[in-house]
Amino acid sequence: MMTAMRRVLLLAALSGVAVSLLADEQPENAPLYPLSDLHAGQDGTVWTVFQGTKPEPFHVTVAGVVLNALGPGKSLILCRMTDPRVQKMGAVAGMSGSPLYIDGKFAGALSYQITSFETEHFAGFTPAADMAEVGSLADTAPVNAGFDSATPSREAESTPLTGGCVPLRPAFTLSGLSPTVAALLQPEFRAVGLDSVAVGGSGDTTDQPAGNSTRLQPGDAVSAALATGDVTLAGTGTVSTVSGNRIVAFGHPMMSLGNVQLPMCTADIVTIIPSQLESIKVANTGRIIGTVTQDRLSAISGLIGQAPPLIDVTVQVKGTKPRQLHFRVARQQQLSPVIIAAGLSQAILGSNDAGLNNGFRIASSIDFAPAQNLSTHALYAGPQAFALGVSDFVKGLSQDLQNPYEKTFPRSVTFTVEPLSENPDVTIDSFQLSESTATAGDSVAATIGWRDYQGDEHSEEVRIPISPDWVSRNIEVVLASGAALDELAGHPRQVAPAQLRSFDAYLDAMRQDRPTDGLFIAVVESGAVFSDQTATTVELPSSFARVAASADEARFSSHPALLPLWQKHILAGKLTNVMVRRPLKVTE
Amino acid sequence: MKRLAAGCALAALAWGGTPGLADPLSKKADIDFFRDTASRNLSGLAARSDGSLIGGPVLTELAGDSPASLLWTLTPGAAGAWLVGSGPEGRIFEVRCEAARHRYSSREVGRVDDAQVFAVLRLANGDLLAGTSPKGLLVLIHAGKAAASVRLPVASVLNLNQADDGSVLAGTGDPGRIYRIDTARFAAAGSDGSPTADAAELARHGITLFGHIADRNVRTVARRSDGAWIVGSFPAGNLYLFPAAGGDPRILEENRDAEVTSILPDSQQGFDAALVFNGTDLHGRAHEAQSPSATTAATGIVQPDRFLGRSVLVHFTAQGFPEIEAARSGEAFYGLARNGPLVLIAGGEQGQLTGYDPASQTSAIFAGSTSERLTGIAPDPSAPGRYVVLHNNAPGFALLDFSAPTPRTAETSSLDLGQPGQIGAVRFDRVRAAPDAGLKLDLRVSNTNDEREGWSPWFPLTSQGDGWRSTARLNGRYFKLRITLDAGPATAGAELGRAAIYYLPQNRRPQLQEFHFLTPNYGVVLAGETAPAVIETLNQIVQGHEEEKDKHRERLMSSQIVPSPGTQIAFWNVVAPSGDNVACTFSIRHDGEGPWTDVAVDDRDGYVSFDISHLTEGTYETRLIAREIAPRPDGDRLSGIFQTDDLVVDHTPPDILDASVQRQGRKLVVSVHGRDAISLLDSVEADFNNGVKDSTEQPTDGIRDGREEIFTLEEPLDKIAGATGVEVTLYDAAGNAAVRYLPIPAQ
Repeated sequence: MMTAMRRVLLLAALSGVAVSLLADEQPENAPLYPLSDLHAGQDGTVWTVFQGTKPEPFHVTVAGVVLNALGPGKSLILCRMTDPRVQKMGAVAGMSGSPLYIDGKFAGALSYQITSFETEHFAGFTPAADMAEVGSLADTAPVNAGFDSATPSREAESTPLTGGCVPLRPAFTLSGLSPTVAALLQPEFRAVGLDSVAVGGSGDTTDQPAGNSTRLQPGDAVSAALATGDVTLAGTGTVSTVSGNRIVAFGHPMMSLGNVQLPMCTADIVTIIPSQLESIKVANTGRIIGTVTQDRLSAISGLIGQAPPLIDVTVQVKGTKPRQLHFRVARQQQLSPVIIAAGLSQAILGSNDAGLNNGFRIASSIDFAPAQNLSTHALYAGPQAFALGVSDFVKGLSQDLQNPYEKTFPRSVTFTVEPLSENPDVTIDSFQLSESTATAGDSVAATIGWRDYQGDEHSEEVRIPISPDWVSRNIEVVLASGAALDELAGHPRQVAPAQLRSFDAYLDAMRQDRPTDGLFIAVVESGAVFSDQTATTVELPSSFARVAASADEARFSSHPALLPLWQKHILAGKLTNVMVRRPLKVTE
Repeated sequence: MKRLAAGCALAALAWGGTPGLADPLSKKADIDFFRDTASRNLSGLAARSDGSLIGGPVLTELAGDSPASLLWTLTPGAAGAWLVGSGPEGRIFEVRCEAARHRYSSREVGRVDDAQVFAVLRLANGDLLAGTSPKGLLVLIHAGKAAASVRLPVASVLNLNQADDGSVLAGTGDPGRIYRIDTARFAAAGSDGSPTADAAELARHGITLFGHIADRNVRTVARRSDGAWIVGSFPAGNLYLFPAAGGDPRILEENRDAEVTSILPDSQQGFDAALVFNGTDLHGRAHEAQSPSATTAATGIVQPDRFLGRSVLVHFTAQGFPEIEAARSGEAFYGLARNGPLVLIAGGEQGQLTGYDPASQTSAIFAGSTSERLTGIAPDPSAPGRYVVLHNNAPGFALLDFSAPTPRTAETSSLDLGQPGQIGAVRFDRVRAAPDAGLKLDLRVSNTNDEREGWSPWFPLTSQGDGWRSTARLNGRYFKLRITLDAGPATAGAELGRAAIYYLPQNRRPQLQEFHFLTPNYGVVLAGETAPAVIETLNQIVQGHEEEKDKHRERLMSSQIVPSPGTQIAFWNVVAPSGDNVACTFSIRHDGEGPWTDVAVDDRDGYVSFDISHLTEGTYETRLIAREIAPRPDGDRLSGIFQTDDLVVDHTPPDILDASVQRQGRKLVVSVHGRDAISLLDSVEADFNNGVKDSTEQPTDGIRDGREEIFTLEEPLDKIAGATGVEVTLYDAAGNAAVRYLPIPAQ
C-alpha cells in the first residue's frame, strides 16, 4: 500500500516536471480544447510577450466557465491568474488574444478583465471555438473601400459589460503626436471610439515586400494600425492562432467594425506597466506585414502578406523652417478625417517653430480617382485660431470624405501650410457708395475702409460699372464674405444628401463655394433660383419648377435668393466677416 | 308678366319656396355640378359653369412605361408620332399612342449633354432641334446623334418655333431673348461646347438675335395669323408683340408675378393666352432676408409643388383689348388647344381639364386625369375630336376623345348637408336628351368627411316620375351622387340641369336657454302685435325675413311692467334646434309635496302670469316641459323637461326689530334693524316729512345675504332742514313692507 502510494506521488512529481518542461515549448498546431470538457481546477498555460518580441508562458487555473456571458452561445472561460509573474498586473491591455493551452490543446484566448482593484487577479478567456469561427469568416471587404459601413463602437472600448467584465483593450498607442495635439483632438478621437490612447512608438513602418512573408506564432504581439508613418495609431494585442497566413488575435473586437482592411503590423513590447486599475503593455508599432480583415465580437483576424490600400497623407509646412509629415491612414469614413486632421494639427501646433504665429494659409488637395480632385483653401489667424477651429476643420474634412453616393476614398490628401507675414485679421470700418442713384453707363464708387489687426488704416475704392440692363430693377450692393454671399445667392454650404445624386455632383457642390478669405462686393437683384442638385437656374418658370419639385422634391427646389449681377473679390488674403447691404437705384 | 315671374322666383329663393309661411322642417341642398364635381371624376360628361352636366369627352389613360420622370414637350414628330423632351437625363423620345389598345410606346431618338430638354422641334428634313436647361444648349440631332450644338449665353432654351422662311426662333430664359437660327448654317458649323456671347461667333453657327425682352424668360412664343410673333414672359407674365422680322417688341399686356404658359392663336389675328399668377412671392421673401441664415436651405426652400395662385384665360383680338374669359383659383393652366370654337385647357394641380366656349361664354370642366398636372395637349391629326394629353406627376400620356363610345359618368365630391339628416329625393332642374331608361343615379352617405372610411355602399336611386329616391332609408351628413348615362351619340346632347337634394335634418330636443321670475306683484301689459311681415322690397326678399318666433319674443320683451298685487310673472326662452314649433307647460308644487300643478299648459308665448296671493307661503319647485308640436309628425315629436328656479311665496311683511334716528355732527343717521321669516331683506326707504326721500339696498355689514339685516342711511343736516320726523319702510325680497315713523331728535 505504502509502495503504491509512493508510486503515485512519484508519478505526480514526474508529471509536474513534464508539464513544466512542456510549458517552455508552445504547442504547434494545437487542436481545440472543447469547452464542455473544461472544469474547475484545471491548470493551463498562457503565452504572451512580456518584453521584446519573444512570447513567454505563465500559468493560470481554470475557475470555471461562465455560460452565455457575452450573449447567447458566447461563453467566457474564467481563470485565476496563479502565476507570480502576473500576480501584480492581472490581465494586461495588450495581452488580449494570448493563447491558453490546457493539456497541449488550444482552449481560448485571454480577452476580458473581470474587474479592477480585485484582491486576487482573474481573467476571462474567449473559448477557442468562437475564435475559430472568426478565423473561418470569408473576407468580403470591397476592394475600393477600407471598411463596410459599420460605425466604430465606443461601447466595445469602454462600457463595462454585465458584472463589470470589460474586454481588454488592445494597447492603443499613439506616436508622432505631441500631447498638446492629442489633447486637442481628444473629443474627436472619443467621438469615433478611441477614448483612451496610451503612449507608444513606431519603428520601421514600411510595407513588407510582397512575397517576403513574416512568420508569426501564437503569443506574438501584433498591431492593427489605423495610421502608420510619422503619425502612428495602432492597437496592439496578441496572436491567438496561426493557420497558414491567417492569424486570429485579440479574443475580442478592436472597434467592432466588421469587414475591414487595416494594416497588420509587427509590434515590439517595450514593457508592461502594472496598475491596480488597468495594466498596459507599451509597444512600438513596426512594419506592415499584412491586412486585418475582420473585426468581430470574438476576435480580429487577418492575412499576412498584402498590405491594404491606404490614404497617403502629406503635410508640407513652408516658411523659414520647412518641414514635412508623411503618414498613411486606413480608409474609414469616421476615423480617417480625425487621424488626418491630427496629422495636420501636429504639423501646425506640434513644433518649436514660431513661423506660423502671424497666421497661415492651408491649401488642401484631396485626390480621388483621376480628374476627381477637390481643392480648398483656408486662412487662419495663427495656431490658436486653428486650434479653436479644429473641430470645424474635422467636420469639413469629414464632409469632404464621407460622400453618401459612391464607395470611394481619396488616394491621397495633401496639405500645404504657408505662413503669412502678417496677421490676416482685419476690421471693416466703413463702406460707402458714391451715389445711391446711378445712371446707366456710368460707374459708382464703393469705398471700403478697414484696419489691420493692431495695424494701420486702409481704404480701397472699387468702381462698379452700371449696366443699362439694371435700369428700373430692384438692385442692392452687398458687401459680404464669400460664405455669406453663397447663402444669399442660393448656394448654401450645407447640402442635404438627398439633393445630390452622384459623387461628381457632390464634388461639384464642394467646388462651387466662393473663397472664404476676403470679401465680395456684389450688385445683386432679388429673385429666385431653381436648384437641380448643384446646378442652379435663375428664375426658371414656375410651371417647370412645380412639375420637377413634385417629381423629386429633394433634388429639385426653388429658393428666394439675391442674384449677383456683378461681383468682385476684394481683400484677398484677409480675414473678416461683415454684411452690409445698400440699395442702388439705376436710371437711364 | 315677366316682372311678376321674377318676383316669385326671388321670393322662392328667399323663403324656401313657401312665401309667408315658417321654414319647413325639411331642407334642400343645391348640387352645382360645376362647383361640386372634380375633373378627374368626370368621364363622358362635362360640368358647365351654369352648374349643369352636359355630354363631354372621355379621357383614357394610356398604359406604358414612362420613358422619363419629367416629360416636357409634346411636339409633332414623324407621322403618328410625338416628340417628347424629358428630364433629368436630357433624353428625347419618340412616342406613339395606340388608341385601340390604350397603350403607348416610346423609343429614344436623341440625347443631349444637359439635364432638361424643354424644347424639341422636328425640322423639315427629319432632323431634330433641341433646346436644353440649365446649360442653354441648342443641339441638332441627326440620326439619333448630336450633329451640331452650341451653348447659348443663356440658362435655358424654353421653346422652338418654325418660322415661314425656314428658320427657327428659339426663346430663352435668363436672359429673355429670342434667337433666329439658320438651321443649315447651324448644322454645318458643328459643335462648340463652351458658352459664347460673341455675336460673330454665334453668327458663324447661323444664330442671330431676333429680339429680347426685359423680363427674365421668353416663356412662350407663338406666331399670329398675320406672321407677327406673340411672346409670353416670366416672372412678370407680360405679353409682347414682335414684328415678323424681329426688332423691338410692343407690350400688349403688363402683369406681375405671372407666367404665360401657353398661347393659342386664332385665324382672326387674335389669340388666347393662359396666364398663371403664382401665389408665392419668392422675390418678396428674399428682400426680407437680413442675414445669410435667413435664406439657408433649411429655412428658405419654397417648394412650388403646392400651387396657391390662380390662372386666367385671356383673349386678345387683333386690335382690341384683352378680355378675361375664364379664371380658376388654386389651379394652374399649362396648355391650350382648340376643339372647334371650344378652347381646351390642360391644367393642374388635380389633373384638371377644362374649357371655354366663347360662343355661349360658358366654361366647362371635362374629364381629367389621376395625375396631378396635365402639362400638354395637342390635337391628334389622325382622329378629329381626339387629343393627346401629356401629364406629369406621375408622367405619362392620355387620350381625350369627344366621341368615345363609353358610358358617361360623373361623381360629385363629398358634399356636406351641414347636419345629419334623412335623405329624400334628388331632383334636377331639367333633364334633356337623357331618357330615364339610360340614366342611372346612385348615392352614398357618410357621417364623416374622411374619404377613406365610413361611407355606405352606393344605393341606387329610382325615378318615380317625381324625383329620384332610394328605397332604403339613408341617413348621413355627407353624401356623394354618381350619375351614369348610357354611352353613344344619343346622349351626346344630354343635359342635366343643376340638382337639389332634399333631406330632413336630425330632430333634436328643445333646449331651455333662459328662465326668469319677475319680482312678485308686477304684471305685464303685452305689447301690441306687430304687423305680419309683408314683402315690400327686393332687398327684403334677398336679405330674408325675421323669424316669426323671434318676433314673438321681441314682443314679450318690449312689454310694459305694471304693479299688480298678487301677480307673479315667469318667462323663458326655449329654442328648437330643428326649427320645430314648441309648446311649454309650466308647473309648480310645494317643496317636496304633492303632485305638480300646471300653471300654464301648452303655452307658446314664452311667459306665464299667475296669481300667488292664494298660495301658501313657502318655497315651490317649478318645472317647464317643452314639447314639439305640429307640423312635426306625432310619432317623431321630442320633448325636454327642465327643472327651473324655485318660486318663493311670501305674503308676510318683515319685522322691524329696531329703528333709530341720531344726529352725528352735521349729519343725521337713520338705522333700521329688521328680519323676515321667509325672504331675504331687500331695502330700506326713508321718507322725511320735509319731502326728502332716500333709500338703500346695502346693509351695514356689507353683504345683503340674510333674512335679518341692519340698514343705515346718512343724510346731511342741510338736506333735511325743517324735517321733524321720518317714515322708514323695510322691504323684503317678495315685495312685502313694514313701516315705522321716527321723530327726529332736536339738536
